[in-house]
Amino acid sequence: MPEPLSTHTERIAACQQRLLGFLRVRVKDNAAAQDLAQETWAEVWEHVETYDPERGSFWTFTKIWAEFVLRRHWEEARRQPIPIGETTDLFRDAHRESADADLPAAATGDSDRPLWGTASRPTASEQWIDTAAGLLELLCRAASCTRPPHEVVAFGFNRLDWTPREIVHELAGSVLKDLTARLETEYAALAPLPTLHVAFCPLRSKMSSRLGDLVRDPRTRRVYANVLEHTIGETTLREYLPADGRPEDAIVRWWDSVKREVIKEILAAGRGPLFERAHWKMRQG
Amino acid sequence: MTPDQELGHATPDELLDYFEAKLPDERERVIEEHLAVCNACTQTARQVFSLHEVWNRWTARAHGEVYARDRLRAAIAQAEQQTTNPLWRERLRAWRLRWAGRAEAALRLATETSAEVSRAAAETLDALTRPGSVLVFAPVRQAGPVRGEATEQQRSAVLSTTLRPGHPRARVVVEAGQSGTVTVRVDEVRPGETAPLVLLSGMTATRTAVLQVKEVEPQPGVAYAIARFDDLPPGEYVLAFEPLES
Repeated sequence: MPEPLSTHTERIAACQQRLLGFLRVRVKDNAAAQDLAQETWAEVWEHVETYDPERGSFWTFTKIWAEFVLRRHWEEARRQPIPIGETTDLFRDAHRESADADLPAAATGDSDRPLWGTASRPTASEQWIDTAAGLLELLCRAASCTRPPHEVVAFGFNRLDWTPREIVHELAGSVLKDLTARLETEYAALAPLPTLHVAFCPLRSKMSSRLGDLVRDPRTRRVYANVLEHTIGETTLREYLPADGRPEDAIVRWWDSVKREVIKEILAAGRGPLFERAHWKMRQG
Repeated sequence: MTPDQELGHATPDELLDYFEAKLPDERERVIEEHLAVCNACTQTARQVFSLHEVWNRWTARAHGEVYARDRLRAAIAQAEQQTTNPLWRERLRAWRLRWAGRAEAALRLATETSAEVSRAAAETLDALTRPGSVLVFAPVRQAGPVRGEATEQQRSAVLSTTLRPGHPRARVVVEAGQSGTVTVRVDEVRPGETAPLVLLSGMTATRTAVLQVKEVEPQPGVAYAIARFDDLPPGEYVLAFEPLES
């Protein structure tokens, strides 16, 4: 027997604030969030008879429709051309940024200038415009982050679409020095940026260090006590895998550690194309 | 729980957990309801979400595709500056501003010539194609690697497409040799119909940059129009078609 409409009205009222919070952080401004909330409620109301409390909470049902509305919104934005007149600055900047991205910092004579160039100024079309400089920033930050190098190397193969299982089964026996060289070669084959060798430089240079000289965190030192005195480039990935538990889970944890460190570093640095991109979104709120 | 968390405020780490759906249901609910009313947390969460999205889309392949778009955008800008045809300059400008390094269709062309072999290859570049493009090239014949004396077939690669439903067909023929050619032929261009500009950019095997723009031009006495890039040294090129939308 269908539930009375008043029950659904109460459920909707209970989820309204939560839905707005869910949408606010996923779109560029509050007005867009309000519009999408309206669209979501229209969809929910239209399909409310299909809601079955035995299959999940009303919030889960609402979120499915919110995600549908969001995907439609992003897809529509992606199809839109950029209105002429609104983008001249963006493309002037993006063009300069792209040109900068081809030059190593050393070549410009400005050692303080980051390798990935100047900040971009995104527009409403940013969902399908991410400049190569932004991704180069991620690569540079990942390659130079303070996570142990084996985590970064394993993460690099993730960006080449390797699964944890493939990494464990096919790469675990290789030394990190060889894996780093292979990673760089295969990345360059897919993304032939002129500055790629500079981006990989920090990771490459760590291969001749002892792990104990790079890792200061006491907990990490305890975990890898057996390899602290080894030269990093001569160690194999297998030496870092835990004796107990699934090795694939360890690989996923390493990837996650690198991601968290890089994202927090970008937020803390307060500069660079990616920070500017995120900050621009913030200002629209 | 910190005092901030008791108030519902979330740390960047917790926001990352939130976007990765790793939080307990109750904490997720508290954070979402808090985000509806707290501007400071919403600002931080938008930054984290933006970075999280870019991170998840980042692969070496995606990086290469974005880089290719940057390069095409730069090539269009350079062609715009170099052309002496004011109408072309305006069309190139509109292309650059409106489509940000995307084309109606784009092909990667490669030609190679040595004492033993001449070969040509062509493939579509989906990463450079604009959303909603109506130009989809289908390979008709593709030259494979050959050894020994090259035949006429092995020295060329052909791709063809229909420009729009009910509109002319386009055909690209790449011929390798010491002086190669790329011919873009559009059949049955109707009077008054604008055919797209075609931009060819790339690098010769001896590392010389090449950048040319042509318009397909009607040929006397026949029903098709042609743009022809002659005397191309062996190398790797991108051939991009101006977007057709008005």
